[in-house]
Amino acid sequence: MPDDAHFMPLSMVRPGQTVELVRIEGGHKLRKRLADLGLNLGVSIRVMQGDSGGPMILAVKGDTRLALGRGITHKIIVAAPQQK
Amino acid sequence: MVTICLAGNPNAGKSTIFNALTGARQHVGNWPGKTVEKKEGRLWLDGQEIAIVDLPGAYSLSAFSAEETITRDFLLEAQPDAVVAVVDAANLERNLYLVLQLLEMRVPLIIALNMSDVAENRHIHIDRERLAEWLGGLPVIAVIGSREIGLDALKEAMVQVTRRRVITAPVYADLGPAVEREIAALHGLIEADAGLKDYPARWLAIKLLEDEGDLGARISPPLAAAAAADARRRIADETGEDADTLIADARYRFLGRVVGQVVTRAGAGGPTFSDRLDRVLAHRRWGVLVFLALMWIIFQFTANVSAPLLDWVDGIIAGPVTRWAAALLDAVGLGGSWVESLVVDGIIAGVGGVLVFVPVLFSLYVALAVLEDSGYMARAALVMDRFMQRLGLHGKSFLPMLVGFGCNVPGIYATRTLENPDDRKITAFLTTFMSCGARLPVYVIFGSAFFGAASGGLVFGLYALGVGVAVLTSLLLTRVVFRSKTAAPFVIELPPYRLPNPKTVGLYVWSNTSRFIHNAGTVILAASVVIWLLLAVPVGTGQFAGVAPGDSLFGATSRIIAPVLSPAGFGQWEAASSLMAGFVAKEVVISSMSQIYTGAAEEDEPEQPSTLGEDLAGIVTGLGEAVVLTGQEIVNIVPRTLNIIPGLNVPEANFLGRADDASSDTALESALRQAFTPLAAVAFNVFILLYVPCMATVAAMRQEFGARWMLAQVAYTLVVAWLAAVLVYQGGLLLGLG
Ligand SMILES: Nc1nc2c(ncn2[C@@H]2O[C@H](COP(=O)(O)OP(=O)(O)OP(=O)(O)O)[C@@H](O)[C@H]2O)c(=O)[nH]1
Repeated sequence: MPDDAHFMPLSMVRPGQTVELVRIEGGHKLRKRLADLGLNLGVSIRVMQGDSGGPMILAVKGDTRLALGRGITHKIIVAAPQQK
Repeated sequence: MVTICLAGNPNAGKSTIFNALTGARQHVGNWPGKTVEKKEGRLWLDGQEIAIVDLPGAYSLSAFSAEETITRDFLLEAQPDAVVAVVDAANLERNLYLVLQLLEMRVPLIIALNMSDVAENRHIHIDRERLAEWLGGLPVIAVIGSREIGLDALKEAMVQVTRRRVITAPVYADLGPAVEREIAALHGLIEADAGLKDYPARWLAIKLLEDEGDLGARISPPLAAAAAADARRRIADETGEDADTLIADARYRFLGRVVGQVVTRAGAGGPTFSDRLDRVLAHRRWGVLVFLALMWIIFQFTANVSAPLLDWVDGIIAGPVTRWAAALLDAVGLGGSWVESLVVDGIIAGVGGVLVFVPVLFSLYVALAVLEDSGYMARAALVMDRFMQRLGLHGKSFLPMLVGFGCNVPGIYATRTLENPDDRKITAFLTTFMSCGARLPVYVIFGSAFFGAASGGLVFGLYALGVGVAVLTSLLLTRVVFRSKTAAPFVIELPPYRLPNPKTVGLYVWSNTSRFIHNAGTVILAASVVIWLLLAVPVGTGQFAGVAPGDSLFGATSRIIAPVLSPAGFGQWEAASSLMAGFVAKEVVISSMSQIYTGAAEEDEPEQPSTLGEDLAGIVTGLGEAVVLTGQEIVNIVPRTLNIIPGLNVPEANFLGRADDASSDTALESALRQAFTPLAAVAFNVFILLYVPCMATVAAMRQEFGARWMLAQVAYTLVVAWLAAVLVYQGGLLLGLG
């Protein structure tokens, strides 16, 4: 389990990095919607594309590609890859 | 009758399989959420007729969008004899999430592992027997919907399952001790309740724990619903997580195990072809540029490339067809009578004037079909998201609008993919400003009458104006009318790019073009006859079918309205009456103009008598020329595009060595040049673009959002159209463009 220091919003993750979904800071509806599309707790997310401002493209569960607006990427809390 | 339905994630290939099974021409496309209404078709199987229902795509059996609700309620209420779960084999894990919920509903299930070819190309191997085992022994059939491979095995499984009506052994993901305990308690409560006996108990228990608002409210007495609220609280206290999170988590963990044992993939699965393409097409700057370039090319195609074929069709209708009809009527002794006037001035001028535009629409629909089937649509939503966010909407709202360029009616229905009801209303409102295929012919006629080769610019400008008005309207709606609207999150799946399937493109083009032709044969025909009648009935003196259009009933009525339009530069009764006719459909504008204007124009073309043989030869050589000229216009897209850059003047190709004169001028075009100044023509087109699109859209608005919203739409578009046209005309006058 990564400790809290590693947590950050998905919006801060750089393209090419892989992170793990820890928490979604949103209502019940948003959580459920994202889970339906494949963004459940603990899922491993690879950021394919997305720099400042615009939507992000994610790869989850191997071959699913999702595009997320900036607004939601602030609400998805992920754990940074454990290094060192 | 036995009913079998198709369910699956958006874009898994349900519509493709539905078409292959039933032969129905259902619209297929490569963007998530295109089937928004369930569709039914028939199939003969095992000596009996079976109803096949194609359900809207759903990621889950929740009720987040109108389309998912349709799917869930159909499964609950219609109780189909079997459900074919269409699963994207190249995206198995996420697709099985829905299958797991279908299993909970205890419906007789068949798995169609579609896109097997895609999976194979990516070296994904699926052990079907193993998968079937995991899913309780249900049939798992490998299918390639787009190539109609595996359908016989699928049909065989359908026969087996419906004959035996077996529901395989229950397969459930273990949802963890806390959740399972509460499910057991609710399960007892639900089974004891006679009012709930139609619901699959475990499924309902889970739904209640997930807090599916509308289901809880629907259950009466709300006993179970109240118990579920308590249960949710207990689960949250005990585990520190909400029940819905735990449930989704447990399901995916189960699926992770399944996929781990069933799927083997060679290679590491690095970036796919689509990922690489997306680095450009979904890039925040390049993506927008590519999008605009694509739009520009499409408008070139519709405005210029289709013009030679249009002239060819027009030549046939105005020349040989009209002559033959007149000759035929002469032969039976009706020459010069009111019947000839009805046939020639009413029906041929009206319906023919609309049919002329088949080549234009054909190229528009080919372009839209390729955009859809290639998977580009979802990217368009993505690159436009940033822009749409500024308008208070998000990228997904862009898709109905893009569909609206083809026809506004499916655009309005396509808003069902939006989760937020306010977003839906706003988007539908904006969609009617997207200039549809039926409005295009009007611009093309005016464009070629007034602006020649520059008509592409007029068309592009009008499309852009439609978008501009939509932008302002959106700001008005999101900032003023729906100020309290919460921003809905933007999430969309990006399907892989695919080479457009010629069959799918063909079906799309065919279904849309044939609707246009069908309209010409029904609505337009009827409207042409009615308009002819109104033009034939004299007001005051005069004789039936012998009256000048201006003195007819139609002319007299239009005269009352015309003054309202004079600030916009087209205050003549002819223009007013064309616009009135346009309420029915925009195609009618052309057909009524053909009757009104050319009826009024002098018959200045000397009739050269020609034989049938000469006519036919003329048609054939005309086609040859038109094909050559079409090629020329395709080549000319390049110089026209480069010439936008100021200072550049690349010469255009001229294959037949003709001078670019008004040789192809039609009678209507020359009549229009006499009736309108160029500035008034632009203002008139602006009005055409913005006012009520047609009866069918009005009906669609009413069906989706109710009469009040529909009336608001009608009133708003009329006011906006008038203001914009007046602004253009008066502004132009001030700038000395009159
Ligand atoms: N390569 C390949 N492409 C397929 C196959 N089946 C369908 N397609 C393509 O996949 C795309 C989506 O197919 P649809 O049938 O529209 O999907 P749908 O599930 O009905 O989608 P919604 O209407 O959005 O729910 C289309 O471009 C099809 O041509 C297949 O087996 N192999």
